Amino acid sequence: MNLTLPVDEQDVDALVREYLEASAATVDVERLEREITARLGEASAMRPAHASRLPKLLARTGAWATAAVVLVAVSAALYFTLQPEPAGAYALVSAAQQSLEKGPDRCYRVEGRLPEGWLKANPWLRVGEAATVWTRGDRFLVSSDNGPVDVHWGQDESRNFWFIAGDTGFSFRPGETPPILLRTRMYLALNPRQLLNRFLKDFDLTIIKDREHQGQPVVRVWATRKPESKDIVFDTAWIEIDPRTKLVRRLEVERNVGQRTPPFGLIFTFVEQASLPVSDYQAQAHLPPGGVLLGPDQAAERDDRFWELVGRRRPAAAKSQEAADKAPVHSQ
Amino acid sequence: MDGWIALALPGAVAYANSLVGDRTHAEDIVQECVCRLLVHAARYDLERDGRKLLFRSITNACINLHTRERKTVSLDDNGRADGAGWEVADRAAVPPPAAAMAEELRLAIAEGLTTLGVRYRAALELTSLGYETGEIAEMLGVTAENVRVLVFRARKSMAAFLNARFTGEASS
Repeated sequence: MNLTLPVDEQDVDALVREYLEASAATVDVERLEREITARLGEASAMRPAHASRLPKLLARTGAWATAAVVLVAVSAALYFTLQPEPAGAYALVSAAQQSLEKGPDRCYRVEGRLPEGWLKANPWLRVGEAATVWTRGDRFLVSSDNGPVDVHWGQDESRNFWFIAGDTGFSFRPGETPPILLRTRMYLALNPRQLLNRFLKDFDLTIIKDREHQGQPVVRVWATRKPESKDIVFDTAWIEIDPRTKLVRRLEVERNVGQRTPPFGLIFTFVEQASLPVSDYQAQAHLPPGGVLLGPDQAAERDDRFWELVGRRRPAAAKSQEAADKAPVHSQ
Repeated sequence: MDGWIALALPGAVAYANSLVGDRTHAEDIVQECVCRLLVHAARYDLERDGRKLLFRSITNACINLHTRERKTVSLDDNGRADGAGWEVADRAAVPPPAAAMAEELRLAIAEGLTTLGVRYRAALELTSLGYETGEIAEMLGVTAENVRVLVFRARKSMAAFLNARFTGEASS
């Protein structure tokens, strides 16, 4: 946009047009089309099949006047009792997801409330206030010193999942991750992009109200799992989103495990944002000096050491197909 | 989805965003308007008239919104019509001085537009997007003469605003 001073009234149209075009260039058309398609699907699902019979029925019973009175009364009641929502919940969560894709990298504090039985079976799930997660898109980096050992783990830009225990690092290609870690990864490794995707697909979202979080205005979205959604590890969630920046400030996911047991879940609270180098999401950056990273090239040794570490017998199905053991990669 | 929708969406969101001053809200309105048009697609020739109908629908929705609620605007939001808050955008490829000047102008235009009433803003923006006076009159539900008055005053007000902002003097 160029400006020639003083601005003549005839220049205003061009300036406004350029302003609108620049604003239009930032619109994500594909995402909008997806959301419109989803809305259309919802609208048609909500339209009852017998709706067209209603006018005939009313006409037959001579109840048009009554219907009109009821309609006016209901409309008036709705007008005076319903607050207009600040924006659609799906649009807001979708915008938050887009914001996470673009960066910058965001850091969240992770607090867990998990049943002791689960923690015994999955010691990697043990997190406390010391656990933090940095995330951007698919990448994440978790640091926790609250478990049996100090643990760093994450996922790099190639979606390789890795963790460091002591002086040994373990790295798995997508699809190689041991089943025992999948649940832990799902819970602990906050991947907000994936989580928000789940909310958009498998949850009913409702904006409850605007509030403040640490002095910042936020919109609270209440997410409840759709009854038909399968394989979802939690049932409900509160998502608090800054309406201006679309930043997820707080995310609380819960799973209901029975009437007598309190629900368990995780709380992610936004701490800070910054631009992290790509290497921070890679295992090598977190190996101690002289540490060893066992990756897909050393699959047999990696898997043996891993199952030894977790104190379990290696499941037959998890035995690696890698026949040859190659030399491990040492950190620089 | 129909081709005309993909072509119309960016401009429609930008227009709605300018009228309501909130990107999420704007997207919500545009989605709602597109859905309404598609539900009643049988009534219209959307390939031919879809864009115009969409802008008319958005104009009405935004004017309704303005008459229904009076927003309070935080000073922090001032000028950020795209709803991006104060996050720093990635401008790696643009020289910083040029980016700063363009950003300052963009903010000034956004702020100037918000000083106009919503009908003035809509009339000016629709004119700048190339709509005819008659079409705008139809969209706003006013006469063509009214549209000319709205556009004339909006241009004058915007020019005065920008001159005051960048030269410290109001235009004559």
